[in-house]
Amino acid sequence: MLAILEISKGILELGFIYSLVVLAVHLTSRTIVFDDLTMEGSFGIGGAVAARCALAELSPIIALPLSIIAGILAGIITGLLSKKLKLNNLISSLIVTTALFSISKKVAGSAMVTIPFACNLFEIGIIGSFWTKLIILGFISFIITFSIRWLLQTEIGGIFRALGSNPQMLTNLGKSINGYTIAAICIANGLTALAGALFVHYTSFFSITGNIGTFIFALAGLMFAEIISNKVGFALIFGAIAYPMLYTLTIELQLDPDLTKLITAFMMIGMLLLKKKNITHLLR
Amino acid sequence: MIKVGIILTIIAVCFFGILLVHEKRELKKSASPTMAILQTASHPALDQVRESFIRTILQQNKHVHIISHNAEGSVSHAHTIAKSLQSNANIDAFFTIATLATQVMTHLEKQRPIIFAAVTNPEELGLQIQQNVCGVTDMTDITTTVTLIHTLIPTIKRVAILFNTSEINSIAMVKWMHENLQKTGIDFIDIGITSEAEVPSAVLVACKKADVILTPLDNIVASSIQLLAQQALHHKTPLIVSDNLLVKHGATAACGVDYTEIGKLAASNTLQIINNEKNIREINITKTQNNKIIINKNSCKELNIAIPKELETSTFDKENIC
Repeated sequence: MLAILEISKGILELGFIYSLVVLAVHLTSRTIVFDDLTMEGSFGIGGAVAARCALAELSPIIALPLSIIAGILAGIITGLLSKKLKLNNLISSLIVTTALFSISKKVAGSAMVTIPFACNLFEIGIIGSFWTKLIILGFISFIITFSIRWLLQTEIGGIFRALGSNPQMLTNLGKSINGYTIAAICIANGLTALAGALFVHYTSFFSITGNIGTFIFALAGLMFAEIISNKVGFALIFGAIAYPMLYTLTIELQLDPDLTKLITAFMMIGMLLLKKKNITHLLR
Repeated sequence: MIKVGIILTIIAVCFFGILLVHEKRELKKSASPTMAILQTASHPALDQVRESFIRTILQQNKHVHIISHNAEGSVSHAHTIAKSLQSNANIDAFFTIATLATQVMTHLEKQRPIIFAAVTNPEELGLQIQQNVCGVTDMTDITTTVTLIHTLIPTIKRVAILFNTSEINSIAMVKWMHENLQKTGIDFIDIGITSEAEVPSAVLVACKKADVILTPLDNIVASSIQLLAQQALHHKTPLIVSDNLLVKHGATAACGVDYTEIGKLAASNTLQIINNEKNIREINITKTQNNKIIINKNSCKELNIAIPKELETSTFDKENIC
């Protein structure tokens, strides 16, 4: 029974970290409708900054905000490329991601960096407690998800939503479309960089290839979240938890390791079939 | 209400599934030891380590139960797998192949023995300090590689080192290569790549600027060897690799470790630990002794390289590829 507890704890922790990326994808792809692939790069740069700070023996309390700033800068560049140079959204975010690969490596100093024990976010504070990681990550995830939810209900949030659905209205109101788009991209990339930094502290090492697949992971999470609801809230956190949960279940089955991904894919189909419409249709 | 129902159902089903599997496993628990293998990615060298490891273990003790997993290069997947393995109380020892898997597993598990293999520079990961870890490195003897280049191509002026900049094993070996090449007075240039897609243009540059292409133990080189060898041969440039398995696929020559040997060595260490003959603390990080030279005869013929008499025995033809 204890083993189950430990596995579920692992799933939840990873899910909480990725919930920030899912939130960021929701903000860009759904709210302001700007498909932003910079996530993949800013996840890496966030981790790289966290690794560099840990090597310089800075406290994680300082390291995490620095990571967020790095992510925001990445977002600004994507925004400027797309809005000022009028490049395609996907192209500008791909360019930034490509550049961030080299930058991350230079920032971290090596392709693989081990975080010293003393500078690990999860080792300071309540030392050695079984629940520390889960509590810290859960706290961060919930606080941020619900502050974004609150933000989307304010006037700024209203403008963000209008960016996706009716940009003409904003022009008529005299609001700067470019400014608000860049602001939203910055928020999203800042969140992703925070997730990257948390991931590095969580696994206690930084790897230059650690960010590969982040976007897919988050997109899968978003799809799962939309089974339940299209709004920002618990649904997003649940969506982020769903993917690691399925993957763990596949591993636990201990079948042929070459088939792991295939089984995960089948499970995903099964889960997506549960889409809201289907369920309500069945219940009728 | 429906939403909450759906969430609860899905969570319940998943957790019930995990619980069921666990219960089943608890019942299966027997006196025979259980091993878990975590492999970083699939490529010829690492697959060979795993196969020879499993073979050796099963030859010695038929009753060992082996659970095998592969992270396919993803850090988060490696972490999820390692977490699941760690919480399985039935496992007596862990075997990790290559750097990523070792890094993740040693961070999570501090009690039960972990045996690693194919990690090029364990010192950099701090593995020699951790009490429950031992293993086999695959660092090759670079001095012999440099001598090999000299004997095969005496007129050599400049070497192009082609490697993946995002693997610390490659970078560590490239550093060694620099030192050794400097000693012998051979000029060198570095060509860094980050994905398979960059290989064709990188080879082109390498062939134009240098007489020989040299590669360290590198996952991208390993997976794109066919293309690499073909291009190098087309431009009449010898390709010297660090992994003997790759010579079969067209590289000119190699002086590297035998991955079957690494698997066997790791397996014998593991058996000593499982059978309680030795404590893991008594076993040091080991290195395979024999670096084997292997030369591709067909490729040499096409490049007009004369194979010296003392190396004749280590050549092989395309006809007798096993």
